[in-house]
Amino acid sequence: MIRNINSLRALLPRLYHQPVCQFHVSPVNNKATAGRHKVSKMLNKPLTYDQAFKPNFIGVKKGWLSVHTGNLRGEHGSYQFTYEDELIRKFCVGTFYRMLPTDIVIKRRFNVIEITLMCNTVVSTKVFFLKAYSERLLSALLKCHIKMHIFKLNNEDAIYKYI
Amino acid sequence: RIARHPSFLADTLEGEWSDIWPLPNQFNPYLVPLPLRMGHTQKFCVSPDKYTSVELLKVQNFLHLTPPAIKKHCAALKKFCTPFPKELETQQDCEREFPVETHTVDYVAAGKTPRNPAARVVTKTIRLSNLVLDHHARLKLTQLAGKERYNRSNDILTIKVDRCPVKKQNKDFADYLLTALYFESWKTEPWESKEHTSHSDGYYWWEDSASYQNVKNLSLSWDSPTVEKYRESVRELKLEPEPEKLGILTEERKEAVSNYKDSVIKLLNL
Repeated sequence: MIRNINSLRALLPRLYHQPVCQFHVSPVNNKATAGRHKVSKMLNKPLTYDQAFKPNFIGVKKGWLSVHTGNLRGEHGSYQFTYEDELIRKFCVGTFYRMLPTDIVIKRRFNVIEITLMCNTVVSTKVFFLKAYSERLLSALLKCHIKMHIFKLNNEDAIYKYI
Repeated sequence: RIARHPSFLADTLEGEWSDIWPLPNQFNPYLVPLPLRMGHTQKFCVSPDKYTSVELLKVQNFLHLTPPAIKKHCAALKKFCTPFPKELETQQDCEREFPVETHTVDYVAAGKTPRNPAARVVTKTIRLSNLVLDHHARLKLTQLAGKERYNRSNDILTIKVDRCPVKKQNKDFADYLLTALYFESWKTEPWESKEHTSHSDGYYWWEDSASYQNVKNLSLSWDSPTVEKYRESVRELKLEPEPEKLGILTEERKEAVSNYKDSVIKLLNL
């Protein structure tokens, strides 16, 4: 007596000579994992102020890292600005490689993009060159005026708490 | 110079602040002499101070708009301004001088272009009592404009134009529409006669109606004032405009009905 459909399926290849491919699926766990950091064993994992609060505190305890009018009601450009912001962030993390202890703040005013960074290098010539390079290249890529503001911040000063 | 100031805004700084911070600018902790901390505190955590805080950088600052700076702006602009004319005191004065009102919207947003397709819409309004119109012209104008453009309760004709791509073109088209409406309403076309118009157009010919037949049967002279009055009262009742609220006996309606009653009584010599 065939008790369930799986055993019937097991019979099928022998009866009709057809290949059957199965894979194992575990039950789905609807868990939010965005912006959450795992607690370390020794409690020595440093977090900045932005990382310390979960994403549901945006607007309450945290501000917005990217400021533009595209997400207001009836305004155009929300996808365009988000895409450009992603490009700017990846670009800056790459040019100022391992020099940025915190996130990058991007603000738009008409056709000017103001990028604010916190940089941990002391060598000013390096920083000025990279700043001018990024401004020039980004304005060519995005067809906007780019203004960069760079402030000095040590890695230790950016830490808000240890987890 | 900034390093010498203690950590509160001294009186001497009041006049100089607009030189240090003239335009909207990113928050600079080395220029702002305030001991600011921004952020929520958790257990064993300290909110970051102004040199280490990213929150202060994210937030919009209005440090370029301190009251002394605004006073300076106003003083600089004052020489380009003239006082508002004394003759235009009330809304009626403004309407008398400038009966046509133009309404346009400009949109401001971040982005590479300042163009916004919604900015081309132009709305022109005028109160018809400011125009010289006789009975036929007013009727014709309201018929030509239509219900959605003419508001009977406050007698305002609204023309909204958005068919051209540029605001100036829409403005010119609205002007053209207004002039065309005005001059067309003064003309009487050959098709505006008995055969082609009906009650809904606002025309009523008493000679064709049943009440005319009734009066004929009474065999009265046509020049008598009673017949004239009867005619007028029947005409008023038939051409009554649609009431805003159904079922309510308004003053005008009452008047029209009582006029009809009086004229019938006089006609039949009761």
